[in-house]
Amino acid sequence: MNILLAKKKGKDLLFYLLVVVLAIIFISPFMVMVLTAFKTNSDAFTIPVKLLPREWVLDNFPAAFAAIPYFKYMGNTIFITAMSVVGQLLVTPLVAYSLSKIHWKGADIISGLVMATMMIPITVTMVPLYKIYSKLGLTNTYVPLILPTFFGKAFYIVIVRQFFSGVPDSLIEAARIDGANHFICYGKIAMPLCKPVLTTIGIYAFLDAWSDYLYPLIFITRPEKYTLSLGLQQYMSEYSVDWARLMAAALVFVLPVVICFAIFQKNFVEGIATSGLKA
Amino acid sequence: MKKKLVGTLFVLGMAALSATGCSSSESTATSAAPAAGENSAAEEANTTEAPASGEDVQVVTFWYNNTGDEAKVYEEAIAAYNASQSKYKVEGLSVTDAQKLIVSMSSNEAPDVIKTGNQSIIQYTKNGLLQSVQEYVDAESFDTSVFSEQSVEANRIDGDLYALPLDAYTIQMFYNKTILEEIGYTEPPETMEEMYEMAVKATKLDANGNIDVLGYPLFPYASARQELIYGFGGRWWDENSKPTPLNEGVLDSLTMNVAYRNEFGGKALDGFIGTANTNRYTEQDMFFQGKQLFRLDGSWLPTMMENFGSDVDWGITLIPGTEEHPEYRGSARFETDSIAIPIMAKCKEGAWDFTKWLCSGDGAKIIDLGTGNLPALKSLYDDPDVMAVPGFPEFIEALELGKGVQYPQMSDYDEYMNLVNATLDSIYAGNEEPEAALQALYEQSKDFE
Amino acid sequence: MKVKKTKQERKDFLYGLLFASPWILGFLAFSVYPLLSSLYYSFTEFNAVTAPKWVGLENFIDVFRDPLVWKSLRNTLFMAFVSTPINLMVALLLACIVVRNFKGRGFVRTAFFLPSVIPMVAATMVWIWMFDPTYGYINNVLALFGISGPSWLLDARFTKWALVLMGTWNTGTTMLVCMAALQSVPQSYYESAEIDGAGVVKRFFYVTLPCVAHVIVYQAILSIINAFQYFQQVYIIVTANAGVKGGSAAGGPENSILMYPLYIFHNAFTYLKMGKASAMAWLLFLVVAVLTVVMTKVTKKVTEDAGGE
Repeated sequence: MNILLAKKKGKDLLFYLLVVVLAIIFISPFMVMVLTAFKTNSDAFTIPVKLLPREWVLDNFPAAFAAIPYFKYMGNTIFITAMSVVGQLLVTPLVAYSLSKIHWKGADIISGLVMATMMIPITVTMVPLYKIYSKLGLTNTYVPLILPTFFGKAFYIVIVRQFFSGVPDSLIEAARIDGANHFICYGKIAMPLCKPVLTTIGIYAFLDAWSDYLYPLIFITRPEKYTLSLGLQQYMSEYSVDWARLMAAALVFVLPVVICFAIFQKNFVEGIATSGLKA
Repeated sequence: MKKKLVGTLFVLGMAALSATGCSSSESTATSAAPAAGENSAAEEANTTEAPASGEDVQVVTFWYNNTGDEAKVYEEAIAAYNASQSKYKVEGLSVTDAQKLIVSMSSNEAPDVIKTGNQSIIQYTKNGLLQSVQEYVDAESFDTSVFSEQSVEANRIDGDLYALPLDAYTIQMFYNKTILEEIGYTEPPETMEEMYEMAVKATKLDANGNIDVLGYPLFPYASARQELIYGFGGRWWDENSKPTPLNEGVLDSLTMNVAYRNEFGGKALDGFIGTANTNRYTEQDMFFQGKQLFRLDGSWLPTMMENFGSDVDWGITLIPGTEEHPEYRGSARFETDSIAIPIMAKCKEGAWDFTKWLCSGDGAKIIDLGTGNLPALKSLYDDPDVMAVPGFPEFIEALELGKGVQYPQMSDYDEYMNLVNATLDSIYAGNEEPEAALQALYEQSKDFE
Repeated sequence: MKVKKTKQERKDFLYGLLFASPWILGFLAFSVYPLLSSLYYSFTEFNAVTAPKWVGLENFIDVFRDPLVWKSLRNTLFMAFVSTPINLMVALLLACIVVRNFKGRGFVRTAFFLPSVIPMVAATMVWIWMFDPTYGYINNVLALFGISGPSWLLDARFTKWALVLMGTWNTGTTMLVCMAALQSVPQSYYESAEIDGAGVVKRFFYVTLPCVAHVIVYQAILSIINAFQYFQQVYIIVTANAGVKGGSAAGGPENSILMYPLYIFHNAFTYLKMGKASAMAWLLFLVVAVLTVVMTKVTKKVTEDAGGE
């Protein structure tokens, strides 16, 4: 009996060891970013390499803040991000509901088209897309960055549709027999159910908009309208990289995202976990 | 709710429409960002010093591909131009991504003036994207001989001038005097053979077999592909801009590179080069730290070393030739940064006026001194401020030799260089013998034009 | 009765159209024209700016003859069919851990998931720094075990594996999905298997795996489709590695990480061959579309075999 217990204890210990090692490995890129941000550049380049800074310095942060109008870009980024999240949350579930819960001719075609648009690289559609916005006089505004989110992004639509396909049709059928139309079914039944998956979409949309580089690069030509990711790119000068400062800048860029994730973590996990289940 | 939001967005967007092209500067920019605050207008006024009564002022947009401190130098020059006259107002923007330039050109939203390397000038011209400045030059009888001959040549395509040179760029050999003395030499090498001998003697390995001091200048990469080959008389293209990878000098140079790699191990070398690439031009740059005997690099290096307080005792010399052909000594790439006007520019008159001022007027000195690039304007060759920059006298002397190797007039240059670089990688990795690899490169590249 | 049904159908059609209208509108306004344009470009010689010139099938012939197209396709296939299975295995392993009840489980789950929320640009820069042969943490950790690490991003034999390694950090989403799937396996299955004397390994292969197979296959399909769009990471690495004035190949050492989308990008905006880039994009589109249909069919079969949904 004792031996068995000892064996189990040993197994537990092994398990914990594995978990701790894995956790450290997974958290390490983030830690490297954080710790390097507090080093001097010469410290970062000293052999033997030490994980912890030899001397903790804060200089990299003011330098990063001074190099670009950080708070102004932050304001711009927050505005664009907020609008994008709102757009995706309003539209994505509507479209997904239509594609999986309303049985209509055309749902299959639209679903196929949604999938298809995911597979064409933006590289070759960029020039004609820009031409459209240019004709509308909308280049150098935030419209090209925000408007598409109000049409729903294909990837999110697929996720939410996936989630809806796990909701039994009978729930909605029953309500319809009671005389409810699809607006009521959508508002009263579908929406409350998909709260977790909406959190997931929200965070994805947040991440996407926050770190998007290509659209702001192409469409925005006035420095005062720049976003953080554009500013960060400016910060890496052409020929040399001051790694410690770069990590500081990256950290202040990443931090809002990590905080946001920490707040919504529980819903986020739940949302992802439930959306990917049904094949 | 949704419709209303979209509608609001559209309105916001329309309100944010800013002036483009030759419009009056009055109409510029009400920012669409609610959180952006009001100080943007103030900032702009600060940097550009718009004239008070700007009724007839025409806006000229200018994109340059510099960032950080260099971008500040360009803004400084722009401010000086705007203060110098009242007809045009130049608005600058740092754009490092060529993709943005191409996309904006596709929709006639291109800037009026661009600054880019002369290799891009060639490519853009071959694609019909640039306004020839030849007609302006002819119309005004503008004297292009104020620029060095090489720098004008660099921007002449099929007989016509498509850009004015802003600054010049070449490479020379820096060497570490202390290391050179340690291995028993007093003078830097004049031939590749001598250089090789010194390089082997100077290379030091540490206890783990990693390279501590690199003798042979395999870093930066770009010079291994260019100057080390030019010194052997090798060229990647001929006078007709046709690829010539089977050139004898190319093979000789690669054979020497491979010999050095075999001597000290490719893995150790790659490790050194990788790290050198990570910290290049920082305080820990390998040459600044005394870990490179030779370094093929540009005119800004001495200023950087001074700024970082490097205590390396360095010298500058010409790129070596060979024993058989000492006359190859001093061959190095020659490039210019150039100012050009896109074909779809809306304010070409203003663009030309600014181009002239920037390249041949007061602008050139501001840019050259600020960015550490060599002048293309001959009058600056003996300007006391320019000559006071460490390293500049030696570099200008080298420029005056006129041995610069110009870019080919190939539209497919980038594609060709990608194949060249990949071939070099493959040779260095020991996958292929140089002869076979170059033969394969020839087969792949013979149709480039 | 029949009339009513059609009336219902028509009503549903209108509802469906109405609900899907935002996407359809966006598609018509901002996707159809760019898509058709790029299809047209693929038959033209076009530098993205001046007027396209019709050249028929020349671009497609060029694509088939260009060895770099095939190289980039092989590189992309490597990501799809080597990196993806490894990521799935890692995700499954992590899921097996966080599904257990132990102290600190929440923290561990966060740790595993954290890399997935870090914006790509920032994460990739950190990785470039970690892969540095001398100062990078990876080689320094390897050195602790007496292994002399390679020059990850400079040695063509290791560049793709460096990407694979980077990818395993990014498996948080898949891990969560697998975790939920594992949770849904009825406890009674395990109990009866234990009674039959099955050990941990046997239980995993005979109980767990069949029960979560459909989820894994679905995740695999999504990951493979995504792998064909793998672009941003290599673009950042190649740009950072290019050195002064473009000293290295446009697709990393020996073009070993020249991914298909990266080569499309270079053709479009570096070489100014938008026609060829468009031809490449449409060919890839066809390949992925066929692949998706085939894989979806396979999934359906696997799911039915497993007696699932």
